[in-house]
Amino acid sequence: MDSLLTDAAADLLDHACPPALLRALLDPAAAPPEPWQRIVDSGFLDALLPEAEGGAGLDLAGILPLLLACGSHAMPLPVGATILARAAFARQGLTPPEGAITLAQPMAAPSPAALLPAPHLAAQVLLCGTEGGALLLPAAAARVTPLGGGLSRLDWDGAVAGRRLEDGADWRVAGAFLEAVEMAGALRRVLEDTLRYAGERRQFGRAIGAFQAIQQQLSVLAEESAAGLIAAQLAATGPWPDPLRTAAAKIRLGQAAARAMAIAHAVHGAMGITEEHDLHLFTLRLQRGRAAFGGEAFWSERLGRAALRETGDSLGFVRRCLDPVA
Amino acid sequence: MLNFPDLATLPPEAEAFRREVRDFLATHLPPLPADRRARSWMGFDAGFSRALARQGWVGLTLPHHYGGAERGAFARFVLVEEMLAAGAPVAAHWIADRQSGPLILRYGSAAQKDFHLPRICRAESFFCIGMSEPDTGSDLASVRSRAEREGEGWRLNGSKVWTTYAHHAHFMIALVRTAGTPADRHKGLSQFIVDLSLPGVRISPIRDLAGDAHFSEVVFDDVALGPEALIGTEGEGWAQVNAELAFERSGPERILSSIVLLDRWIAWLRETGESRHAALLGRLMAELAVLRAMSIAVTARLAVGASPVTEAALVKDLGTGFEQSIPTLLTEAIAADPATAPPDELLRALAYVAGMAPSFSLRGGTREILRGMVARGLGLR
Ligand SMILES: Cc1cc2nc3c(=O)[nH]c(=O)nc-3n(C[C@H](O)[C@H](O)[C@H](O)COP(=O)(O)OP(=O)(O)OC[C@H]3O[C@@H](n4cnc5c(N)ncnc54)[C@H](O)[C@@H]3O)c2cc1C
Repeated sequence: MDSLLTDAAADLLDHACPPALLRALLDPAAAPPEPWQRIVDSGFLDALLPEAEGGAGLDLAGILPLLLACGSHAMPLPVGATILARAAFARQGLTPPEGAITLAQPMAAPSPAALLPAPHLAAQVLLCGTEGGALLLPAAAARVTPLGGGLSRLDWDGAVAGRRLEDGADWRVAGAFLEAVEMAGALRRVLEDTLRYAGERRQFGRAIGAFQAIQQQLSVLAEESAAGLIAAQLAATGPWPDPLRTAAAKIRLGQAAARAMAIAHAVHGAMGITEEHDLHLFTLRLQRGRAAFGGEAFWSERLGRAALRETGDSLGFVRRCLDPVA
Repeated sequence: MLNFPDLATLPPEAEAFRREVRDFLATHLPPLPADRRARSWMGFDAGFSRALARQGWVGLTLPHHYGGAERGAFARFVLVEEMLAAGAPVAAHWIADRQSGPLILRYGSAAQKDFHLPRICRAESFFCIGMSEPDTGSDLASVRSRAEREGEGWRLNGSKVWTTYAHHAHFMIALVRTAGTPADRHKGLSQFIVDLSLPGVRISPIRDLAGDAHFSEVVFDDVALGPEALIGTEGEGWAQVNAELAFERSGPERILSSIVLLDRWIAWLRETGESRHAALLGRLMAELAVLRAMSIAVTARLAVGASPVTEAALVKDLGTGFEQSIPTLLTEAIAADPATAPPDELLRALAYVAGMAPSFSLRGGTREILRGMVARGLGLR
């Protein structure tokens, strides 16, 4: 990964979304506007646009450091979705809508509805279409029902006017891609915080990280984090999220997240389930990412059917469809 | 903190080499049913190894000067990947190619290199690894086999166990004590190249639960070794053996031990048009793709001369977990509908792999030992 971009992204997020501000951002009554302005000013939002159109001309690998940093900061502002949506509108020759754009999977309902984290932080909601393309709706027009775990249900009146994006893209893939990559960032953060805690917390006269049972769990956590980062890099190749590589990343990060959440909380003891401790900010991020835009079962079915349609052996399928250069 | 290397890709030369390997396999791979191919790198066929040697691919990373192919880590990745996917019987030359040859190249004297390396590259010399003993498993520093100086050379006593294909090998590289007692731990250990045809060497194959005899017990009863048997430096055996284990842990063989079974199952799903296990297949493909990418990332570190010991241990732990999950999950899938009749070949392959799978996370360092290495890499110990 490009270390200049990595440093710039981490720096931006450290300033825009430190843990203290994160709690304020999550509060619909108190969310400050400055963090979003910082992101806008950074120029990252048009990262995927060609330089001739005022963008940075980056591909997915180029924005990966920023997306990972969003994950490791549990960034509730929809940075990645706004980047992808702005690029898609521009590619259709349309002016991108103003403000933060959140991507959401619509729920089966008579009128538009979706599950969304932190809906107060989005100006627009882009609902993935079932036949490709998407529908843009104003967030403020929705009725919001909090569901716990940082998630809300949004319902729009059937009569509300939306704006259609007819680009033919399967936006569920884009959503799954963003979740998978940000989960890799959150997983890395959970590893770092858990390692630090294991070095600080003492029981029986030693740091708990000195106990072999804890060490073995932390090793598994590190393995899952390493696998998650590689899966994210595998998905973040090319100009736009690829359905099969995204499927592989979403599946693998879903598995990794489930294992990591359990280990991190076990190692933190009771402290980890307090509101005061930051751990839940990141484990809830993992939990939400795992469920959003299709879980492991959904993407496994898709990936498995693709493999059955092919001929040849499993490694041939992996090389043709799931290799970074495929 | 451990920073796993970034994603890497196989260079075009390595992909070009893949085509050559495939051509070779198309003509030289003996026709074997899936349950034989499922032996993976435990399948022994000296004739196949010699054919591979004639092609110039045994001693793949050894210098031309000794008859090697002088190829790099990426070529080795491709060769191993193709051989294992095909279920080629690679065991005869496997250990010499993977670790004994590179060990001799690194630590051997000019005379040892001149003698052993050309024979390895011609697949005339097969090697085995003498680390484990009846009372020495994970705790390798506790070895008791002992070589005492005698005249110019040495006298060796003791025993080794679980020695893969000792009964077909010509030489063993053995880790033994040359000074002190087991209480001295890492100090006083040395490595020897033991000619297994010498008087006093007794080799008894041990039958495994599948009925195969791949490993042996080897007893040394006053074996007289010449001075040239010592490899590397007297007393430096511990450092040398750890360098050797790093060669042993980093390859695709730690991911692919169940791949023949998996592919046979996929073929059956396609034959019958059965799609109810698509989700299971998709999950396995996702894991395989990520593990392979991790293995290539580690290979890229090897290719630039780094020694990614912790990273290799990390991938091996994940990889053997994947290999072991395959027979467990496929048992469930194949038995999902008791009224179907899976092909005999698939059932035989499943029976073999399910039986042997526990060994995947024992050989080359157990799961707990590898996780301990990862913990060390994380700064926890
Ligand atoms: C198919 C196969 C081929 C092999 N080929 C060779 C070969 O060619 N040459 C060779 O030298 N050896 C070979 N081995 C032996 C292999 O290296 C050993 O099996 C391995 O090192 C473990 O030793 P052990 O079996 O004695 O188990 P033990 O060391 O007795 O371990 C038993 C259990 O205790 C656990 N344990 C041990 N110590 C610790 C610890 N400190 N902390 C936590 N848990 C611990 C282990 O993880 C394991 O779960 C082979 C083994 C197999 C299965």
